[in-house]
Amino acid sequence: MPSKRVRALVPLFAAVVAVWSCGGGGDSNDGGQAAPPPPAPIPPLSQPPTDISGTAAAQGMDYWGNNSNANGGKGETIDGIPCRVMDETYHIHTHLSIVLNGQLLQIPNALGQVPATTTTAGCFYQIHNHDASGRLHIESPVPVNYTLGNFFHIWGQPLSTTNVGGITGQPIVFYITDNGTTTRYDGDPNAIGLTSHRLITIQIGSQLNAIPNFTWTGT
Amino acid sequence: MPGAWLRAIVAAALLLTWLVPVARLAVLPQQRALERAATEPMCLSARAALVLPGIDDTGSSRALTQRPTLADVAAPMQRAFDKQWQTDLTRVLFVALAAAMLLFGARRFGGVAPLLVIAAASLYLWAYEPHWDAYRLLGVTQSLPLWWHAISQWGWALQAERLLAPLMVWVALLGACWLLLRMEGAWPRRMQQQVHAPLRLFVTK
Repeated sequence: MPSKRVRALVPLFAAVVAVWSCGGGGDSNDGGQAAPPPPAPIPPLSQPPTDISGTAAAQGMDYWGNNSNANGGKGETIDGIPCRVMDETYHIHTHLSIVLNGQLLQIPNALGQVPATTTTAGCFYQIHNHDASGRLHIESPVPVNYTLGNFFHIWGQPLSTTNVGGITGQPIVFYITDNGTTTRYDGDPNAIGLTSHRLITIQIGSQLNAIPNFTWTGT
Repeated sequence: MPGAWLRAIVAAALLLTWLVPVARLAVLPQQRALERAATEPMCLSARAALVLPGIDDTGSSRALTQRPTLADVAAPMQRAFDKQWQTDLTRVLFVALAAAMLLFGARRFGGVAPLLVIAAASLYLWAYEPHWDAYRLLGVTQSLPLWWHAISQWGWALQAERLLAPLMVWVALLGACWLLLRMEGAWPRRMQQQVHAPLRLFVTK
């Protein structure tokens, strides 16, 4: 049998629980229904930007290693993009950052390149890279509108709102920075255009403190 | 015998540390030059045309014969790769000598073998600068399956270089230090007597 004192405390305990479950009352106007959490604010661009002109140093931590394009392009046409000798009549660059729990991951070097051998000639896809800085080269005889999906197909890695290069099970947010202005992208990531000086940031896991910021000379 | 086990572990750690450079010896200078020529950054189409003889939109045989082949481009690099290969061979032979002395010459060479192992491990640290990315990645992914997803995509050479070597080099280094200081004895007894005897005389006087 509980004592009288304990029995007297039961209503007080119930009242505290009721107030707590209502969120403290007073300023809550949701009528008992939890409102969806507001989207996290867009992180600012990190300053100063890192210059990756020319053949730049690798940026970020190695995640995919040197064999991640095993399922990627081997010289066959992918998404209508041929693999040929480079023609730089149209030559622009886009930057891709993939950040996992606050750590920038390295985009492997030589994606979109099929090296020559003694018996076979090599070639370049019109989307490729020349270093592990994350800068993507789009080189074509005519102006083209390639997308991030095209690049991932050439790389041979998956890309969706739930899977980026095989990384799954973590919240994924896409950001696009054009001319210093960052916007959150909620559409199909495969449709993100690869345009000149665009910074594409894929945030996986924890919220970024700052969007990785890169600059380079030329287009 | 715990000493023999420890020597075997240290020797194995040293050999595992040097696994990639040892395997890399199979790639001869000529092949190394060809590899390099094939992966040389070729952003300029003119340079690309040099090393990609088979690709020619016109398909004319004249263009093919005029352009140098991959072997032609690799040829000037071969001298540098000859030197690199010889350096790699010298280092690997030194490592093999250190491991063999540690395993089979403990009685004869005493404290010299662990010293050679320390030198070989230090040489690795100096020449190859071990990467700890594989271990740092564990903290970044915060998930064993995700970590393994990354590591499993790496080739065996990268796994050996980034997962095995950084750990093994320290096992070899610390194990050799332990052998030197505790088990094998840094100073042979005779040398200890030679050093200590005059000191004792000096102290007693």
